[in-house]
Amino acid sequence: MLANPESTRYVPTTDSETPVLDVRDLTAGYGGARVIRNATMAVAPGEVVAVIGKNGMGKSTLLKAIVNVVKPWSGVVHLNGQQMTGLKTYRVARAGITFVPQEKAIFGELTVEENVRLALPRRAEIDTAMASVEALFPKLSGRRNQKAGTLSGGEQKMLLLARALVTRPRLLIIDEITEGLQPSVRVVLREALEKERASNGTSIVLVEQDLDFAFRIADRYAVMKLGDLGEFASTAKADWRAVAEAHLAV
Amino acid sequence: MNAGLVLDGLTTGGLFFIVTLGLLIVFGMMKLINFAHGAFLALGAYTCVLATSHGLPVWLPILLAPVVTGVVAAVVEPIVLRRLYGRPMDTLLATWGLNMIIIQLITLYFGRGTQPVKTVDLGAVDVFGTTYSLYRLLFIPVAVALGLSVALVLNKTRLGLVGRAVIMDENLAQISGINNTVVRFATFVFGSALAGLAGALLTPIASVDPNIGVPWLFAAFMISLLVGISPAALGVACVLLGMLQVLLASLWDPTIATLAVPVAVVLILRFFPQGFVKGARVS
Amino acid sequence: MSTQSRWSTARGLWTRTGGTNTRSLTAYLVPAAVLLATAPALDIYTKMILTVSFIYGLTAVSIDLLWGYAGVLSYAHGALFGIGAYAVAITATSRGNGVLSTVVLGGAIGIVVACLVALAVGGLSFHSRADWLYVGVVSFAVPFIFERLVLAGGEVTGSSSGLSAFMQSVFKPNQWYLLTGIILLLVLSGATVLVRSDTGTLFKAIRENEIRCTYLGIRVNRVKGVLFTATAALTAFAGALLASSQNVVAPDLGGIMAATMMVIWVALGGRGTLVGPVIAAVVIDYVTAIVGAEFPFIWQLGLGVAFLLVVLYLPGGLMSLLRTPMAILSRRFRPAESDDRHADLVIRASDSETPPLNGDEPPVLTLRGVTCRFGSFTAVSEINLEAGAGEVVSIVGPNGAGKSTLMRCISNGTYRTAGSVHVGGQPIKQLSPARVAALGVSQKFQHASVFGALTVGECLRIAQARTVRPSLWRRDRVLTLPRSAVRVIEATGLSALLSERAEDLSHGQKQALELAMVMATDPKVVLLDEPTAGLSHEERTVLGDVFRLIASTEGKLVILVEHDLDFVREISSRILVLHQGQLLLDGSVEDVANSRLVQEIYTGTFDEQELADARES
Repeated sequence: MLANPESTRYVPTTDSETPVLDVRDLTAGYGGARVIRNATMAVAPGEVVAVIGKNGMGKSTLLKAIVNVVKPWSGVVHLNGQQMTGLKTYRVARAGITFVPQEKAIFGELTVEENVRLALPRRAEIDTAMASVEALFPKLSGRRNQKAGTLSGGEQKMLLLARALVTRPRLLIIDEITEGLQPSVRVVLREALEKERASNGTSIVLVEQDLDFAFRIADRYAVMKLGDLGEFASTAKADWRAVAEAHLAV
Repeated sequence: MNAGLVLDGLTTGGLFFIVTLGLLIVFGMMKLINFAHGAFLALGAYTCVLATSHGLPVWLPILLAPVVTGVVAAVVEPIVLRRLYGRPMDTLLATWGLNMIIIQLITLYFGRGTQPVKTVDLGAVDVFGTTYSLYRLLFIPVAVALGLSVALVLNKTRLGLVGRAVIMDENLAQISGINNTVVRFATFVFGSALAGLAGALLTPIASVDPNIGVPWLFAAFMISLLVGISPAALGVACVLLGMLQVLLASLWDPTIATLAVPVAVVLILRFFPQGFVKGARVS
Repeated sequence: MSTQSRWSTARGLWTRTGGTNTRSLTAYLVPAAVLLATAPALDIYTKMILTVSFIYGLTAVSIDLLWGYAGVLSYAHGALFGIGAYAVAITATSRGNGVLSTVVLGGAIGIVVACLVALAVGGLSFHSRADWLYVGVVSFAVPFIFERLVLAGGEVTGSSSGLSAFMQSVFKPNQWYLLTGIILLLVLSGATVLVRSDTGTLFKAIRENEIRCTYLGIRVNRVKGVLFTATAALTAFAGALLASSQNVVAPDLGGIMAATMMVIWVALGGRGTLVGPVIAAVVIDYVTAIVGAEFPFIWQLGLGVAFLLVVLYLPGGLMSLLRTPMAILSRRFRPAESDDRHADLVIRASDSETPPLNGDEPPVLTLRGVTCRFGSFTAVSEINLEAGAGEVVSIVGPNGAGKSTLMRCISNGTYRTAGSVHVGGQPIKQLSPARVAALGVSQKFQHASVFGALTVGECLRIAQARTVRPSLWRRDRVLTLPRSAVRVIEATGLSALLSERAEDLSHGQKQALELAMVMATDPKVVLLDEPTAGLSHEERTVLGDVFRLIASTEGKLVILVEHDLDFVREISSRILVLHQGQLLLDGSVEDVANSRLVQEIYTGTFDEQELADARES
């Protein structure tokens, strides 16, 4: 099944000379073990790219190295032309790269509203923010004062994404958000991302195992194998099942 | 059980609370036990001594003490503690070294002996059929006020929200754009200022010598292991332990009574490593 | 090996074993001689001060053994010192005469009481649920309690004034000086022998990586408890010496300040060097006594500052400053001989035969309904499994499927919430990892977990510690390891790296070392958590062959968690597919490769209904 040709795919604009994200030769690992090697990629404004591959190949590490949650051993990262490599994580977040980690990354003991409030810059209006959250994810309406830890798995992921979107990031970096979710929930998430991209021109880097999800929304994809990031290819004419067989199968 | 004893227990509990609150906040936020807390307490007491010896009315140094202590803490945190982030054992040793240094500096300047302090004579009031010192009674409302303000800030302000986030999960807070370093710094200064305040409050009723902070540090240290970052839980623990200490002092021996808190805490923790409150201990 | 070389090897072994200890002992003859020679030149006053300094040197040995070598920080020893001192003082006072027999009696009482206290503190501190903070808290409480008890002791303890003039002259100051000096040197040499032995290596291993020790079957808490009690006896003995020689005791002898000073001496002198702390203790105490009258506070302040600086900038203490010049010196004097510590180890394979497999064996590992819940989250649910010797079982599944948790449930009896696990027919119930290891389970962790500061040879020696008790005074030069361990060592090239420190190895070599350590315990069940993570292709191939060999030839059950599906396909005899904590498929490589459901799980396109149906079947 081909990716939907009608989808809001990346259309190059004339003033998009500077890529939103420019990664060159990024190498990183844990302790003595090198996990990713010389990863290079560029993402244009408004573009969505997907990084796919089997588990343990370094996809998460790549994302973490970009936002400096894992300190890169070498390489450079630029956001809109600005040097980002090795910048403290909170600075990266404030500069416009929002990272959505794979783990349950919400504050379980805080309420839904508090979680959203934390993500907002200081003087922003919480009510407007909550309204847009509830518009994107109707399932979260009326839950303002519910403790985030008591939400269902799918709802927690929605909250996670909502928190990320509320910051109006230039670049969203998402690590396996669909993991463990029902197909219906995945559709909701995907639609939210597409809406976001269409209205705000947010660029997105996704790591995904669900290729159907990834190919529906991404413009380009690349395969990560044993720490090496492959060439990016367009998703326009790709058959995700064939790609899955080639790269993910047992 | 006479009213005087109960009041003693309550006021002791109130005093425990004021002393421990600062230590607890630092423990919860920064995951470190600040052994210099006792020295900060002494700093607060001596600020009071110095101020009153210059003829200032007693209530002024009570406001001055936290400021002085806060300044010292503000200098110490970046120089000593920040380097040792992630090394809990070394942090323990370093704060202990700091404790020694500050106390020795105080001793150098003031001498080893007890300082004379102009006692606050607020008189006594009749309460529950017994006459009791008004000054001591004030510990209760002060403790309650402090506890309430901290709880309010934690739960109703953005500052408190940020603080709670850092307590719950530092990494996630960083990812969410919170500058942990600043939060830790502010917490340490605030917690130490509270210690200074406690020291100043103590001066009229305790003998002031350089080691004034030691038994309090010890009790506070023990109690904070037992309780989470909840001021309410701290309040309960302080009242209970305060009553226990007072009872033992009257039934047995005052010196033995000061053992009540550490022994009780050690035993409780052995069988309930999580302390009183669920999720209290952050290991 | 020819007769000739076997003979010279044997002789070499003998020399080396005897050699270490002889050299340590002779090293201490020099200061002993100095002590004796300079004695006439010093005045009585100096000798009296030095007597006390030497006694405190003994406490430094205790604290360093515990803290520098085994990683246990104890403030309690301050109080234990006080107990020894007060025991003598109280006995002498109550008997009314301070003669030698009274001193000995008092000392004995003090040592016994100190050991009892140490056992109590140890019981409170060294158990699986206690973290280091709790241990610190408890040890901190002891001097505090001691001081309070003494102050409340009234006539018996002399309260705040202490006790004095209870001794009749047992020895003259001259004799005390020589006696304490010699005792210090004897204790120091004994401690040196201990830390250079395999037991010393064991302490260091515990300090480096306690969890690894536990999973190797070592009863860490027991070791700590024994060391704690032994040093308690030594410290109380020192206290007894103090009371007998100084004829006065006061509460602060065993209080927090005293305990702090002991820690400071060790920190300043250099943790884990023995000599450093002793020198620091003697020098600092001597200077304190001299300066103490004149500038007590400045001196204390200086010590506090020095302590803080050492903690911040020089964790190795002053000894670390001396390390470089000392290394140059020792190379000057002993150029030809290598450092005994890194002398070549000989590895031998054990001769025991593995009984041949005939397919009738009972299952080596049985899991029934194993479930693991964390609060409301179920990580692993209702897993049933039977696996036997000779199998290579791979556990696969997407992230978060519960693979590592399942493995933990097998190696740690306290981990699971429900269900049963049997190893070779024996239930593991709620046993701790060390006890489960004794049943024949050994786990290799995901991030290479070895003992960084130890050499490869030492790591292997410790890996065997459960079955081959480490000697208190010797280092084994010949390691007899199970054949499977030797296979790993030879196949991965570790045999050439025996003298290398583990932390200097490459990542792949560390993984290999940990594997060798795991095999050194000769387990029935080998659990490997992502053993090929971070390895190169060649390294993976080598390890893959080793795993297969371990299972087939040595009859082990090998269970691995792996992400690399090609690797899994190559070496497994059986694959378990986990998804969201449940066992989805348990079959051969073909079964799993051909399963469409598995494909869909990996690409995340499964249908909930199909999944439920599959689970029912």
